[in-house]
Amino acid sequence: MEELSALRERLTAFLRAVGATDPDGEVTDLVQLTGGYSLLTYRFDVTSGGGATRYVLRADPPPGQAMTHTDRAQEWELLDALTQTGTVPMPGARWADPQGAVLGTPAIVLDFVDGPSLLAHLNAVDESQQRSVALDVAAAVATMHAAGSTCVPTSFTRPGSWDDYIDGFIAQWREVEASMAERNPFMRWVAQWLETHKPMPAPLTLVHGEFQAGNVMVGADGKPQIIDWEYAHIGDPRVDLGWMQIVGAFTPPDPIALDPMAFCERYCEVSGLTADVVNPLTIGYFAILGGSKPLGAAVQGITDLARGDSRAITSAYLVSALPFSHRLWRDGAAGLEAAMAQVEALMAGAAQ
Amino acid sequence: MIAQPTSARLIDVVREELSENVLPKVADDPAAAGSLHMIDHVLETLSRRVANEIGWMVEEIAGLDALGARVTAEAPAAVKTAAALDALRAVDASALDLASVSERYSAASEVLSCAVEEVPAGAALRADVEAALDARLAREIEIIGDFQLVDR
Repeated sequence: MEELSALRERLTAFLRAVGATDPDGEVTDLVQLTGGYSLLTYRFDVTSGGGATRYVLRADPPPGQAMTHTDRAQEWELLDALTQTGTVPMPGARWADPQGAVLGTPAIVLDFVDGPSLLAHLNAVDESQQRSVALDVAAAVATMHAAGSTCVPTSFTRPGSWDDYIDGFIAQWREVEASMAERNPFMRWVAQWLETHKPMPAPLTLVHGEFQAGNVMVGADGKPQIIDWEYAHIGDPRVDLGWMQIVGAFTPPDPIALDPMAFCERYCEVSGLTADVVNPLTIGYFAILGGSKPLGAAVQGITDLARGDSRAITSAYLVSALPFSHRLWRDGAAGLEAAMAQVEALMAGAAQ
Repeated sequence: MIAQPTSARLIDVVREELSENVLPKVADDPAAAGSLHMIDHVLETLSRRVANEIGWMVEEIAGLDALGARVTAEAPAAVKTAAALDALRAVDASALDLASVSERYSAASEVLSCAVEEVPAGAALRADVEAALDARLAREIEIIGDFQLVDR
């Protein structure tokens, strides 16, 4: 409670300093939210002049307690740009203390979304409504991807080519494996499989980097709002679709799996991409490929734990995510190979 | 040393105590309850590991040593596998403490990793490599049980 009280005082000082409230404005109802494995998240009200407005604070955890390491300054730069663009479905980014000079830790203040997470919402409605919501999600993520790479600040890395980008992901699999406290044959197997099963390229664009049902809120209007942009980058949009699918396997339901063809169709309508680029098979490839970065963050936490550099219970818990992932990769690759063989057989039959 | 109750049994008792007497007292604190759920899962996996892990690792090390030997005998180009096998055999195999067995297990895992990379898809030995992966996966899944990420 003492920590919350101190944060409330620092937050009040910060918001007054950036002109977010009157000099007599106060932060009230500061509450830490559960959700997310990386940053600390709070909601709070700013009471000023007889009114109150609710916001969310995303802040780095104290040194030594972070399971992942991402850059609030770069995240703020992107969120500020996207907020000004106004086309991407996300809560507006309002203020930031990117170095933590006032708040004591790097942090960003965003609009509060008055609604449940997509995951909670999907679990609260029947299957018919789930399918309808899934199509809204397809439209939301397609809208984000249609924003293109020009809205992304120049501080973000631009891949030299699609092959460079994909090869970079494959290399990450090997780098993540090499960083572990013990050897992992499954990650080495995945890297080899990815090299021999590349799909056709897609245009590189703004990618969320950790797009999944837990990082989408459902607003008061019932529409999806995308949150938690710490892994955003320029890349292949199917990385986001693949990641949603693999996380959906951990925490069902998977919005894509409810009706994969309908999801892809809606996505293509909004994004302008074609069905030979975005389909259940190519998403399946990216479900495996895209796991390297967020999985790498989890692996880093697990490795820190193994070497005595961390005591995060979340990392201890996520040790079990590795075997779970091994099974997903093996089953997923086998399923994709069987489906690809069927497609090739159908195409060969049609050509005769 | 005291071997009974077994480590697995003691861990199970700790789990029951946390579940029956601690969790109800923090049920209205989502962060604390979430932590307890994670702790319970970690303890559940530990209970299975401590009951089996040294035996399982020793058994798998022997299997991967044999696999590495077959790969190097039948595929002379598999130089990484050969080097990994040499490294495995250089590790003292007599020690049965957990740290030593874990070190040998990691060396054996490198043998399998190199075989994955060097035995081509069409080779007869590939089925043995895939079978080794599947056998390891079966044990891993047995340890984690019905794992689901806690919705945080």
